[in-house]
Amino acid sequence: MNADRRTEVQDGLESCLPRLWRYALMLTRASHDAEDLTQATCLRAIERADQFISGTRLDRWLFSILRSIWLNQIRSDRLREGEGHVEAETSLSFDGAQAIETNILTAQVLKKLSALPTAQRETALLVYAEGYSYAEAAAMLDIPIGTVMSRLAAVRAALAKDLERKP
Amino acid sequence: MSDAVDTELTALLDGRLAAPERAELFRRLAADPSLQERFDALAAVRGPLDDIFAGMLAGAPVARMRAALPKRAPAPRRFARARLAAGFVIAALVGAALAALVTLNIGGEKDDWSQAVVEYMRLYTPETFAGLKPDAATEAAIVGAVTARLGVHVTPEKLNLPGLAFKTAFVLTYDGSPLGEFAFADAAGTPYLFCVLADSSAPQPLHQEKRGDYALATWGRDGKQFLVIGPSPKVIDDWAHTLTGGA
Repeated sequence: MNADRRTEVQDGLESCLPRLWRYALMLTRASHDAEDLTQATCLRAIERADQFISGTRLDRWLFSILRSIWLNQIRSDRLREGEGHVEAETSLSFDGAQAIETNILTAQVLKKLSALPTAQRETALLVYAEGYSYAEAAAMLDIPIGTVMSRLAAVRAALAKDLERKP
Repeated sequence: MSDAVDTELTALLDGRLAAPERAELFRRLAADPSLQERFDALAAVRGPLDDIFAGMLAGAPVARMRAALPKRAPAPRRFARARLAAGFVIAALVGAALAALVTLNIGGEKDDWSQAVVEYMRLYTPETFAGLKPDAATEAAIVGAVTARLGVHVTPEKLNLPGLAFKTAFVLTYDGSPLGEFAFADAAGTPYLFCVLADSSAPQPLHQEKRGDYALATWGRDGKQFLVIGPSPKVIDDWAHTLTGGA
């Protein structure tokens, strides 16, 4: 293994941990599952550090690995049923959620976000939190740009529904 | 509203409509109060979403995850970081080239970015940012995330002007360059914006003008263009001088 590349990946990994975990949380909706998925991603990245192309974005390479592990988990354990499947009884939970929920509007949005299909949550995370362009998100998710657009519109529409917007 | 209308409004809110489509939608919004109402409703979710995403970062169990990483020998950090920084530049160039290939980015041809901001500003009402009251930690997280993406060094303390409350911040794309919008509101809820366009442009002295119902101040330095906009010329003058470090 190229020691320089392994060092580069390990160096970059640490600063990406919070964002990897947040992506994992949006997929899994549970803090401990997100932690497991992030750890698996880190181990896989270090194992495959020689596949990382120096000069490209490490964070996006890590995101691709995380997504790949997540999809494989879905396929293998069959606990979830893929894109579009909604598990309404599960809510997004993480340390610090209570602080956010002191704002009524934000609490309402968090609850609605939990109930969205995984594909919509993931697309919103990539574009709104990670700053992917529509084209970049489409490439990452292997879907047409039009699907990215319709997912984001569906996210906004679902979160806006019955939202109390008075000051 | 139909899904197609929501998709169009979302693309506008995300800064992804080309100039002709954007202008056409602005015209329809001006003529149709129910469309404007839908725009407000879809716009209102972005602030809480950003709060949630920032809160998640703050809540990540970083220490535990870091402790679980495989141990390694001390790394040549400065070297690695320099290479990583070069990687970001290359990725940005590739991203810009990709953006040029799709028709969905703002712009398409060069038009006046300050006019685009004015057009967005016309759509923002007190209702747009109503209910957003981020605490100091959330504000710091949001401002930190947005300024990092723009490559500017601005703290919440530097941004804040007495009488204006921070509401939210997000990044759009203008002509392939990141355009950051920091939204504030006065005591009556009237929106004010501080905007940054990271387009590697030449330095510009502070310039103030009135455009329609809005006062604007613009300046450029360190490869960025800056703009503050709002209805009160006095507030804009004070804010611009605070931000530029002038008297």
